[in-house]
Amino acid sequence: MVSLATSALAAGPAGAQQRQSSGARAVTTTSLEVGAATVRYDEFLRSGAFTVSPSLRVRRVRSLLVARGSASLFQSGSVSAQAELAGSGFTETVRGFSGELSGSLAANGYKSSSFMAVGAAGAYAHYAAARFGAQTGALVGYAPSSFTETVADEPGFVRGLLAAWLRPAVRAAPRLELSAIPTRAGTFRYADLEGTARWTTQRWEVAASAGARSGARTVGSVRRWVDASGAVRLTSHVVLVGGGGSYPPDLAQGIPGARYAALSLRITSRPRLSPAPRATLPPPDALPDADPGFVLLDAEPGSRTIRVRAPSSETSRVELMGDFTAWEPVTLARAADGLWEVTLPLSPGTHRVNVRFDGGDWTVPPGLVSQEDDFGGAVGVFTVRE
Amino acid sequence: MRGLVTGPALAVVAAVLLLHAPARLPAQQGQGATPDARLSGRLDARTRAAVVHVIDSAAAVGLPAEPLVDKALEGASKRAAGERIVAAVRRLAGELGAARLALGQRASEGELVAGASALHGGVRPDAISRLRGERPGQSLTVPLAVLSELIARGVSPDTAASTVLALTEVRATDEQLVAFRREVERDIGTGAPPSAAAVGRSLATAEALGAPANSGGSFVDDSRNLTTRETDRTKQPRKRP
Repeated sequence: MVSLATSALAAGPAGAQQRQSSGARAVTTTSLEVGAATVRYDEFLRSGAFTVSPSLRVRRVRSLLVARGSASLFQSGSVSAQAELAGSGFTETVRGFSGELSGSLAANGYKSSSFMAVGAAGAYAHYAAARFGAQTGALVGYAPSSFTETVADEPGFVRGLLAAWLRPAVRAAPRLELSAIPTRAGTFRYADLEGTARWTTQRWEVAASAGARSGARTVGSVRRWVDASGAVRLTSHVVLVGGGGSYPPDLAQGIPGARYAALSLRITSRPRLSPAPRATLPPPDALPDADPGFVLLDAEPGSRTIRVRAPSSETSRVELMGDFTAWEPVTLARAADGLWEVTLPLSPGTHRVNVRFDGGDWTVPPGLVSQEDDFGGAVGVFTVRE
Repeated sequence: MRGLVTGPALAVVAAVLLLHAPARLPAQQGQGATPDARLSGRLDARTRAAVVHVIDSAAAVGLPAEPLVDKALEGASKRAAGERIVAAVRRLAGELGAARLALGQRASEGELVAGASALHGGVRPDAISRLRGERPGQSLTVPLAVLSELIARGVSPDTAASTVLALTEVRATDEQLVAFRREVERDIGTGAPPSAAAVGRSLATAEALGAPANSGGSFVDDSRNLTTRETDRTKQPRKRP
C-alpha cells in the first residue's frame, strides 16, 4: 500500500534514498470523492447527507503536503463545509529512525452561522524496520471559537501519540496498528486507545478498528467505538470507498461523536511527477525509445528472435555472442530497415550478450544496459521473463 | 562498481561453503557435457584445470555450474588472460554462494545469477534477503535484474535497493518493475540525476500502485500528522451541534 511505501521510503529501510534529495521531484495526486452517508450525532436524530470532497496531495521524499475540503448537504437542507491544509517535513532516516515536524490549519462551518478554525503543530519520532515500526510525539493545537473553548473554557489543547505497527511475514495476515493518544484540553483529560487491522492489496483494502476512551473528564456518549472501512479499485482512476461504525467526540475539531455509515466514489488522477531538473545534458547513449537497438520477439516455445539495429545501412555483417551461444559468435541474417535477426533458444533469466559489426570490436548492443564484463570491457545485459 | 561483498569476503564465503559441502546432488551429475569437456579447446590446460577445480568445488556445495562455465567461456572468447579468467570464475562462485545465503537454499539458478549480479553491483545482502521476505514463493529474477540494471545506469546501490524494495512492498508485479526501470532510464536520458530519477519514479509508481484507500487520500502515512488523522477518520459529514 502507498502508506507502506511512503513509510518505507520516508522512515525506514529505504531511508538511504532520502540522502539523494538533491534533484528529488514531487509526486502530485488529486482526487474528488462524491458520496452519501447517514449519521447520528450525539443527542441528535439520524440524518442523511450528500458529500463532495476534493483533495490534493504533493509528496516528496522529505515532505508531504495535503489540502482537502469537504462539503455536506444534509437532509434538512443545511450545509456544512470543511477545509484543511496539512504538511509534514521529514528528516533523513538513519538506521530506521527519523523525525517529523508537522503543521495544519483547518476550518469548518455549518449553515451560515457558525465557523471554527484550529491550528496545530506537532513533532514526532519514527522508527521503521521491515516488519514493524513505532511512532511517538506530541501535538499542540489552538482552536478559538470552537467546541473546545466553549466547553473547556480554553482554546488550546495538547495531544500525545504513542503508536506501533506490525506487518506479519505471512502475506495474508493483516497489518496491525495500535495507538494511544492522550489529550488535554482545559480541564478535560482523556486518552484514546485504538487498534486497527488492515488487509491491503493493490486492488482493495479493508480495515477494522476498535477503540476505547478513558478519563474522568470527557464529553459525549461514545466511549467505545468500532469502525470498519473498505476500498476497492474499480478502474485505475476510480475507487469505491465505504465504511461504518462509530467515533468519539473530537474536541479540537468541535465535532461530536457519532454513529455513521458512508459510501462514496473517489476519482483520482494518475500521480504526476514534476519535471526532472536538467542537471546535465542528456547522455549520448540516451535510450531512443522510438527506435530500440535490441529487441526480443517471441518465437517458438523456449526460443526468441533477437533483432539488432546496425549502426549503418552499409553494414554487411552482424554477429552476436552470449551465454546462450556458449560465447561462440553467431551470424545474424539481414531483415528489414537496417535490422538484423536470429532465432535462438533463450531460457528465462538474465543473459549477457555482445555484438560486433563487420568484424569490429565486440561491443554492447545498442539500447541494452551495459555492465563491466570482468575482462576489461563491457557486456550488455537483458532479462527474459518466465 | 565493486560491491560491499569484497573479494576477501567472498573468498571466505566460498571457503565456508566448500568446507561444509554436502554430497553432490544426483541431478548435477552427468548433466550434459562436463565442464572440462566444454572448456576443452577453449582454454589452455592450466587455466582449464584451475577453472574446473573452482567449478567442481562450487557444484559440490550445490551451486550451479552453468554460470561459472559461461563466465570462463566468455573470458575465452574475449581472449582474456588465464589468470583473469580464473579470478573472474572464482569471484562469481563466491557471489553465487553469497546470493544463496541471502536468497535461501531454494533459490533457482536464475535467481542466484541475478542475485550475484546485484551483489557485484554493490547491493547489500540484507537488502536481497528482504526482497526474498517480500516475495516468498515468487521468483526474484526480475526484481534482482531491475536492481542491477538501475545500478548500471548510475543509481547508487542503496537507492536502487530501497526503491525496488518499496515497490515490492506495494506488490508491484514483474511487468510493473520493468516499466518502472524503463521510466527511470527515460528520465536519466532527459538529464535527471540517476538516483533522483529512481526515487522520483518510485514515489510516483508507488502512489499509482498503492492501496485504493490511499489513492488521493490519506491513511497511515498521514496519521503521523495527528490532526490530519483525526479529521480523516471517516468520510462522514460533519456539523456542529
